[in-house]
Amino acid sequence: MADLEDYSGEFRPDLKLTDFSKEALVRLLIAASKMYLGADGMWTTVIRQRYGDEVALSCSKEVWDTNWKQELRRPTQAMNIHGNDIASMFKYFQIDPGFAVMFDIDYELRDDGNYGLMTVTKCRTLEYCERHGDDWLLNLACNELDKPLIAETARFFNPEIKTTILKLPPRKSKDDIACQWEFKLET
Amino acid sequence: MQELKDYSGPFVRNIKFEDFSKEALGRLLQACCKEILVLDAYWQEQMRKRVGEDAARECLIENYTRIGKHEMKWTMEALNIKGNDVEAYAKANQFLPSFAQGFFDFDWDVKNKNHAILTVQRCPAFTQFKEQDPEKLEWNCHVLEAAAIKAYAAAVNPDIQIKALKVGLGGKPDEIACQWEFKIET
Repeated sequence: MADLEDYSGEFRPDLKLTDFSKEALVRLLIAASKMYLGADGMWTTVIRQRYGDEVALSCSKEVWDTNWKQELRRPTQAMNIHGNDIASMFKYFQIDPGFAVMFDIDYELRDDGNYGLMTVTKCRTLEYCERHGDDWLLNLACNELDKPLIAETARFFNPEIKTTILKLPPRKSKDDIACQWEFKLET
Repeated sequence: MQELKDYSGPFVRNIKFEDFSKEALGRLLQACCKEILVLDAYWQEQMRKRVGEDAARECLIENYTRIGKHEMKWTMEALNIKGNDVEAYAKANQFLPSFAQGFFDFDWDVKNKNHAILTVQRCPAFTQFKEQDPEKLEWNCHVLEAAAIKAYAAAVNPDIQIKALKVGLGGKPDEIACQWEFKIET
């Protein structure tokens, strides 16, 4: 069977993921990533509405304290990513359905791979928070979750990788980048 | 660039998902789908600790009934699935990230555009709770799934009628997890 570009045709009972074209699979991957982050956001919303900001914050932090390693393990296994340097970590960020699929990110490696610069040029979470004027959610996403977890991820790849945050939201203009991170591997 | 079977090679600054093979993309998609289920379980656990089992269950129902229309929309857009009949619902359901092939074994018998039967042979929750927590299994199947399936179907067409043909524990060792009928009366 030729690759299907989409599923606009008739129902097929035994259709598998690999029956679709690569482009269709990428679109489906993006849909799954939206669901992944969307379901997390929905939990936060539901709990905030029912039990308030404090419960939602503590819940979210504890969920992600556990979940970040799962999010790291499965995609790296699926894509056979190994290594303990900054390049390996960047490779993971590039394919992580909870991160790169949903954001536009630029990566730069220097000094034989011992220096890495990661710039998030487009962040859908930030755009959502700006659109809704939701500073609480912005603080949760950037300060309470990403700030510790990205540094933790770097240490997971190699305890000698030092993380420095060069820029975090809020931003002055919508043309600004969302955030920027510097990683150094001391040798 | 030659198609990559995985990402074990060197870092590529401007790599795109299209640079990977279909098999690699499939594995990555499966990893994401698994993560959706795992993340959900972590949220439930945290809520159970803080507000108790009943309140956590209420949150879970609200979560799925609210996210359902979005997940259907994202999936249907990704695969260009049009229409508002039972067949369109079945097609989208085959590729829902939260109901991923590989974690759930299911079969759709589409009798016509307005009538179909879904049989779930293997469901991770059914397998887990069957022995460990039959009460939770019954709640999961009769309350949560009933509400969630209704919300997901309504996202395609509120007139889709749903009938549970087999739900919950039947007592047989090799029983299917569940079976549902979807119909639009014309």
